[in-house]
Amino acid sequence: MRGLDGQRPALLPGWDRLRRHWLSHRLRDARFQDLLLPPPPEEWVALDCETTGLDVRHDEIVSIGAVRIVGDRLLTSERLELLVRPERAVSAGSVRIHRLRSQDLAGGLPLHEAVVQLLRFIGSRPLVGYYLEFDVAMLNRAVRPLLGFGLPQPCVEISALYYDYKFQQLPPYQQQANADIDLRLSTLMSDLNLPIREAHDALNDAVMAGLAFVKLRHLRSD
Amino acid sequence: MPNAFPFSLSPFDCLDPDEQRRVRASVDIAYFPQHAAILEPGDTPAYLFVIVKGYVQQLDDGDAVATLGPDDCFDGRSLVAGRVSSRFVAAQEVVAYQLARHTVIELIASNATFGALLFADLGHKLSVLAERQQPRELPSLSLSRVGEAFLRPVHSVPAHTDILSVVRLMREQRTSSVVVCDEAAARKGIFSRTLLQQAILDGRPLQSMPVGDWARYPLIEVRSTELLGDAMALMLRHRIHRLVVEEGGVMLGVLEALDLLSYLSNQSHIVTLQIEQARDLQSLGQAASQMTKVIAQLFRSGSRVELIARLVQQLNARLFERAWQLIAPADLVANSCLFVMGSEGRGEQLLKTDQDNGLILRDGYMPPEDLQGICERFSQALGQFGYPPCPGHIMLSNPAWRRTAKDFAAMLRQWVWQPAGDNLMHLAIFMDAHAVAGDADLLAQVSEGLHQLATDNDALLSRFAAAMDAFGTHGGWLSKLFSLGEAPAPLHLKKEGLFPLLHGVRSLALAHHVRATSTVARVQALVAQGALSPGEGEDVLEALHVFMALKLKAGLAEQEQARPVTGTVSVQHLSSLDRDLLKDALGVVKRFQQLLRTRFHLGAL
Repeated sequence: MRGLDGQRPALLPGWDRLRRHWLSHRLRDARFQDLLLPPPPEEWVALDCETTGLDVRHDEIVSIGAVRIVGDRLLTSERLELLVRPERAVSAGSVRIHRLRSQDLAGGLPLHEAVVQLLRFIGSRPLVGYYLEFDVAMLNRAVRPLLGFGLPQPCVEISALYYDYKFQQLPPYQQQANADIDLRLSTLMSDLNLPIREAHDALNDAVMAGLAFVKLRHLRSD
Repeated sequence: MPNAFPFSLSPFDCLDPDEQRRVRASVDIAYFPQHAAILEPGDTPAYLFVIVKGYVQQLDDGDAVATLGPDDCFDGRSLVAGRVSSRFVAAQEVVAYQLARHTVIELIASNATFGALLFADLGHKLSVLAERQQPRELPSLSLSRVGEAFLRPVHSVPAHTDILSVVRLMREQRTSSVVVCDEAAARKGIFSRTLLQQAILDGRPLQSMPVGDWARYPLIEVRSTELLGDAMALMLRHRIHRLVVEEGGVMLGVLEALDLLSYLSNQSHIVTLQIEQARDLQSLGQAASQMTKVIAQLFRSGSRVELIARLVQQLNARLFERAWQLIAPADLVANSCLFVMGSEGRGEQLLKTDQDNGLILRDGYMPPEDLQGICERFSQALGQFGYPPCPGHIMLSNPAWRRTAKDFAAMLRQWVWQPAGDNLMHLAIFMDAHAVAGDADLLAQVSEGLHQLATDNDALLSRFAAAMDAFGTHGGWLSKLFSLGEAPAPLHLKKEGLFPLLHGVRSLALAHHVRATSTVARVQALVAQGALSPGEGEDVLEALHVFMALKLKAGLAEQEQARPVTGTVSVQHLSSLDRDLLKDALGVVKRFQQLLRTRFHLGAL
């Protein structure tokens, strides 16, 4: 069971401090020392990436959207929206999804630089996203060579928070079996009565995940 | 999601691309759980909120004064004042855009329309809208000034000029009329082709007949700054086709009805002609059936609703008069006064509603034996024209509403002495009586009697004013307006908005000896007497016009879909601007009711 911040409780007291200490020894670049500080209270960063496909090893990131969350507010005025120039041409199929053509991306940043900006933007704040594991894996391809390890921030998975919330509401007899809960983003958003915006825009997706996070925190604290 | 900011909504729809970019760059998104206080009195406001989802209640001293829904924004006023004065609470959980204060202030500085729309009072808001709509819509008949219309040059001749010379001048100048100056009698008149026909039929030689004998006096003039809609009403009232336009005593030109009407492709002129020329009830019915079309055209082309109402009043009056003339014998018409009451009498009717009318017979006149039959035929004819019979039988086919002047005066006295139930409502409806055919003096005498009877009777005045709450829905509109359930009940515009306003004004008019029968004229008179402040008067009239416009819009839509006209609007189907106006107008009703409660000591009843 996850806590109100979406995290599973630490196994040992002082575990986080120990982990940070260990990571700072392995950190390759001292510029990123801030990433390992204790996170500011009540702050998170909602994150989403658009990619050329779903293969973590071969596909590439084309855009990154990130929004800081402070309490119940999404600071879209301080958002990060980056276009990333992929090394290979973008396939027609993926253009159809995120509608970014090669020529649109020609002015984008190299992935390496985009990730540096992103790390500065996130700092030590926990990450929030929908199927965040995939985005983190994609980003880690550029993050690992930079830091010596993958993104160190705690990650809050919206679909997992939502699953827990829905599971709790099921009558006990249904909790026994493999509960069938629809985790699609559009289902989740409309079930939570939140506004749905056009998907496959990194910033929109990040904002929607951020809103779902803020609302789920309230639902679970009520 | 900043890209999804609703720039199509008022007041953001007046921002240019650069200003829109500024908004996108500084907008945040906030979530408020149900019951969360978004703003508290005394707070320093930091944001303008635009609701994406959910509902917010605005409370003043614990009183809910407004409910805001998706696409509404708040609280622009406090943002500029620098201090929050109302409490804003999430009635349902709310997702809202929040726009930083400094951005809003910058936008106000760079875009005056934005500022005006954000902060304006109801009246100001409407005038800003009218200005904005003008370039987009057809030049509207009723919003344009007489001076802007096509004016024909004025030709004037002395009264002693012979008709043959005048006709020669008219032919040379290609004009259909001349102004005749009668120096001796110090008057001016007009001579036109229609009058020429009469002169020729007279038989005397034209070269020896002075034009002054045939001209029509007096000359009807209109100032060049008047609205075209008013000019049209003037022509209809005098049944003439030309007005001389003057400015500072100088004749600028002649405004001809056809020119005025070709200005817009509306058919109100044709309807007037049809009414004038109808020789039987059937052709009169055809004219009546055109009226709704004309109203819809005028409304869609942006004419102000109060001008449309005035036009409709004139058309209806002509229609009723014509029908009465076709049905009743001439001596009955001459010795009686046919009058209309209620919305028709006040000149606030737009779509056809129930007939409310009556007939005053001259004292001592012996009406035809078939009077009942004549009156029934008249009520039936109106029914066929699309004016349904009055459910309360306030029609001249009912003998109670068809009396001699003496009997009418006695009936009014009885109503005043026993002001209860139906008597009060009859009194109220009679106050709006407006003569349409026959001898208008008869009605004037009876009305005068009513005012002398009623004005010093405090108990009557209080009870009369108390009928304002007759529908018993005070305060109920708020929950209806933005009912938080799935299917909000439709809002009944007459019950919730129009009736309290017009009856309140009617009560004040009775108390202050105001004889006018239209709400607009009554408010103007009350303001002139100091019984209402100019601001209060303006608010009441603007709110009245908002309700009338919404009612007309909803009614036209219902008619188009061949549904019965219900007089209601479903709030969730209104545009955010209409909703805004409705909200402000309902706020005016609430304040006005409060004012009247104090004025008439209604708490004591």
